[in-house]
Amino acid sequence: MSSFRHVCIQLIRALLILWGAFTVTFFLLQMMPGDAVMVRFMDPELGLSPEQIEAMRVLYSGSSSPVFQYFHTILRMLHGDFGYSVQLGVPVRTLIEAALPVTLRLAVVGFILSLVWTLLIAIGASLLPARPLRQIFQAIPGFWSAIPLYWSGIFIIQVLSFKLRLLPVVGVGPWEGTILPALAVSLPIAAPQAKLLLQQIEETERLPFVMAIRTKGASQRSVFFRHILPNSVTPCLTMAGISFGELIAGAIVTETIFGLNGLGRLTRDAVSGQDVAVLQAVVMIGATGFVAANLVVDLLIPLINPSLRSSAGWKETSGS
Amino acid sequence: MKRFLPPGPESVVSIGVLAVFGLAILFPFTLTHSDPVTGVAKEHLLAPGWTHWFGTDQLGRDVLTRIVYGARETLPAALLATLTGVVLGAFIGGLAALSAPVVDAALSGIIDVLLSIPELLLALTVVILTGFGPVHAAIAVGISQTAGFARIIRNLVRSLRAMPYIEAARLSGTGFGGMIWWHILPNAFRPVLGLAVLRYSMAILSLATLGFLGYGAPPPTPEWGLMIAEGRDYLATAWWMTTFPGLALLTVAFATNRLSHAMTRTRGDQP
Amino acid sequence: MPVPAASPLRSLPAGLFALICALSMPGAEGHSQNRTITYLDPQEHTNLYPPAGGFYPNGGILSQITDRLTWQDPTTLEIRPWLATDWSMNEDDTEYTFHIRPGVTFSDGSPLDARAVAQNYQTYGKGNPALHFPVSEAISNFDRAEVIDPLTVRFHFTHPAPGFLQATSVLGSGIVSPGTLQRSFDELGTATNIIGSGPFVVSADIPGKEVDLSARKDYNWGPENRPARAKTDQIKILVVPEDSIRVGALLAGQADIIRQVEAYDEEQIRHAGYSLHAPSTRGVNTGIAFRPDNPLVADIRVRKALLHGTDRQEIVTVLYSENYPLARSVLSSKAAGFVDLSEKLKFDPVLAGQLLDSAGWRRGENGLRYKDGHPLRLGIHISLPHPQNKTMLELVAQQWRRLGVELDIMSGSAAGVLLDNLDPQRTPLTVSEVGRADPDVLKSEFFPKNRDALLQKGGQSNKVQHFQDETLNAMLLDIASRTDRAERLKQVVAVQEYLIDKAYDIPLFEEPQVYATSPNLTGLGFEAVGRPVFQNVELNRP
Repeated sequence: MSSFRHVCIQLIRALLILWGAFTVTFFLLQMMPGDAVMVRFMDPELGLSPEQIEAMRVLYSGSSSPVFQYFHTILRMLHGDFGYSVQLGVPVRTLIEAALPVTLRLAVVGFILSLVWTLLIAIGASLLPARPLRQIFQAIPGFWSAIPLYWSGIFIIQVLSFKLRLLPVVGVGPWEGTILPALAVSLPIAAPQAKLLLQQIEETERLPFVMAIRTKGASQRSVFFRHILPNSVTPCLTMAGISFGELIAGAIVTETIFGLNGLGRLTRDAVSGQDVAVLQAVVMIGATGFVAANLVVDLLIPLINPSLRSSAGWKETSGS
Repeated sequence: MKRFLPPGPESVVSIGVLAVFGLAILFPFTLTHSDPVTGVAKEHLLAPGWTHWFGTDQLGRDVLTRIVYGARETLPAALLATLTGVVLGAFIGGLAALSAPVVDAALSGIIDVLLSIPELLLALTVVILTGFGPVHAAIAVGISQTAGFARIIRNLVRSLRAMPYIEAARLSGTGFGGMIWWHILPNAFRPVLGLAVLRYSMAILSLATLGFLGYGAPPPTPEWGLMIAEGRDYLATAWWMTTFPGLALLTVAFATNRLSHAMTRTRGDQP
Repeated sequence: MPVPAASPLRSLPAGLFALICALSMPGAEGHSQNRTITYLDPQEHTNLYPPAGGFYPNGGILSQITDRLTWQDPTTLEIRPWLATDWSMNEDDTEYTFHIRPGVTFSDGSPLDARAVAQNYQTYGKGNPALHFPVSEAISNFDRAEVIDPLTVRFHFTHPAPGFLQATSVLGSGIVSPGTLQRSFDELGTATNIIGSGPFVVSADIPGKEVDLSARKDYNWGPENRPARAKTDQIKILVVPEDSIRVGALLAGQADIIRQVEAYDEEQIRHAGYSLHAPSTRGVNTGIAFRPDNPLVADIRVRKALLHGTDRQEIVTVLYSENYPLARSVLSSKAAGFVDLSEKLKFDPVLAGQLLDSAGWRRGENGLRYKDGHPLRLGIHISLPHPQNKTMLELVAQQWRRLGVELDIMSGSAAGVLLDNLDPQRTPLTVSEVGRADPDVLKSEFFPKNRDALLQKGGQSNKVQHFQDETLNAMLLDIASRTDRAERLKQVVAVQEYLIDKAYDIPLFEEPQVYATSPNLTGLGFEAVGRPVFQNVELNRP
């Protein structure tokens, strides 16, 4: 019963956050200088007069007040209508439908890769025989989080695709085209996860029951895999939920470099063209991803390990 | 309880690296003698050699010189960004943690809303609203980091407040202000500083990203992100134009990161 | 709960490597005769309403899927038949009659007849406010279109329109089906909605990524140099914004044709045995135009000083290649009516210094020039579509700094740039260039009601205080309405001389569009302003 209530509260909270994100971006975007109609139609290639541009503006947005537009936009979005991209001349929905799968593929593959790196780093930092080697592995998260994403992306393309010709970057299938950018995006995502996991492992190692098992003569490896890792992984799940949202932001840079046409590219173009409808939609998708990831983590953690409380989640659950 | 711990070798190296960059910020002319913005057009796209250690760019400007002067652009701006984030975040987070549950819930809600908007997108929007340029970009990055700070500071202050000895101090009659001044601030200082240093390394990267996307300082400013962005078009013919600014960025971000790591570990070692 | 032992985790990297290797197999080079040809464009197309075809990516698509009434021979610039078999006009160029070639169909099967042509020109010449269609830049003084018989159409003009015949040959006058023009303007952002009569049909449009073209098997109404159907069945147009990726992909065999090759990459492309193509855009050269409304550049001595203080040869030598000829006038040397004004464009820093001194701009301690305590600091926005524009402006800034003038290179959001570019106080300078093979191009660039590069009072901007050059405007109008070709070209020469004598513009170089193709590809053609024509493109076995 109380868990049902917990779910309800979390759901309401999620909806409130979405509404808040919508409101904040709506008014931020309203405050921008100029508008998409201007960007689109003041193009000297079209040679339109100021009167004609004004006429276009009235035709596009009407001359209604921001408050009216605010409620109008909310209602429209609830019906799944994201409006029209003035810049590209297509419904935003069409753009999103084309772009979302690209970014989701990038996010999923990048995320899985980042989990792989995280585990490998944790294993290397805990089980490698020589201390200097372990220290190198411990430094990897810090190093990776210091790599500028666009910089590493450029080199990944040059070396893996053009020099070694492992994978083409243009004109490839959707999944093949995802591997290289996912590789680039996985490093900065893995870094904070790995850092947290290493910290947790260190803490778990000091727990009395681990010490007790060790004194019974269990091997380092079996202690690590049977006891330390399972007990350290849960808090990292919360982190993972947050990083998923960061993937969308990372996509802005990655997709620019790799020439993918996902949400990131869409966002970048919409920012420079001040395509408000597109930006609003992108923000809502990002916020939904963030909220959903957190919701899942928040609801899953008690199922996985009831004894642990979320330490980095959005809500400190009162002692269970 | 604030034991003095001698800095480990890692911190020493990190501080040394940052000191070199500090020198570049304060006295760039001690490290190089060329002009960072005016080149010799005839000597463009020269490979690294004795006269130009890091080569020259498309306008014949010395890449090393530009990196040295670039420290001036990126590093203080990142400091401004972090300060903006810390001050705003500490204010909102601290206020939330110390206020009544209703205020706390409202502020936490706002923090969550801001967290749910992708950081880079928020920064880009703020830059467009305030206009392009290094200072605006720095403030935009600071604002986009505020929510993250606010949440961590809120949780930190709350956990400190629940500590038995602080609870005891409160019950024994220490006033609200006294509690903050004598108990919470000293205890929060170190972890917040460690966090701020970590965030500083992230701010450097975020600022360079804005520069890379063209929202930062205008050309011919030797900003690292801008240098990487310009250099990437020449990658096949002049690899040094992208590689060296990237390495500079990597070095300073990594050094800052290790410093933060060392600082937070010291805290973790305490009982 | 026991966790599986280490082995599967250890084998992950090996597995990943195997996966990457396996996936890399289909990427290997395997050319075959009927392989789809891949074309990489740095930008994605926007709205494909034909009059918006001036934008390069739009032109790249429209020139494959639409035909025009006439064809302009890119070498002689002569107007030749295409969809129109012949034409005539009245004495004062206010009436044009075209006879349409019989048997031409749109790709949806509907006939291309006088009615369809009339509807196209009615829309291009007058716009359609109800559906948001703007007026075409290429057509002036349009009154109405009249259907004489199923294959004859007559256009009426309110004033003489001598430029109209050439205007029927430009990309912006591509003929689309009546159904296309019944859609709303917004729907034309999707390439599949554009139904033309060209050698290719758009088979798919993935926004921001890809446009697929397939050949029309029944096409046989091309202009004289390419009458028959396309030689390749499938063309894939991919959007790849990164310069280094386009070049890298071409050299790694991942693409066949790429657009916009920067001068610094030309050497490695040639070295690898690939071909470069650099058709001229033959219009107004890339240059820097002044906005004399701004007091800093209102003085002709300042403008002349900057004109003579710019080492144009250095710009071309350092940044560009032989595909970018040094400008000898405001107009391209390949444009009609070109006159060589090199003598008036000489680099002379001494003269420049004297001019600035005489205008009252004295050098301060930091080397910059000041007047009444104000520095000579001029703002300009980067114009992204032009090759290496940012670098070029940085080089100009470097040269001007020696004169004591500071060039302030600005950047901003798209809306900010537009607003700034309308305000002569913020942007006393702007980057100018238009590609169009007709003398009207001067009017397009400088006339207040058109692009208004100089920003005159009563033009595009309401921020202009007083600057207006009636002499120039009268000359420009004259070009657009003079019927005698020789007289018209004489006036074009006069305008070029006037623009340079007044130092309104610093012409820098003749802008080409540079393409690169793989060694075994032949048949890439170009229309008069450098847009690609894929009709005869084919891959041969190496």
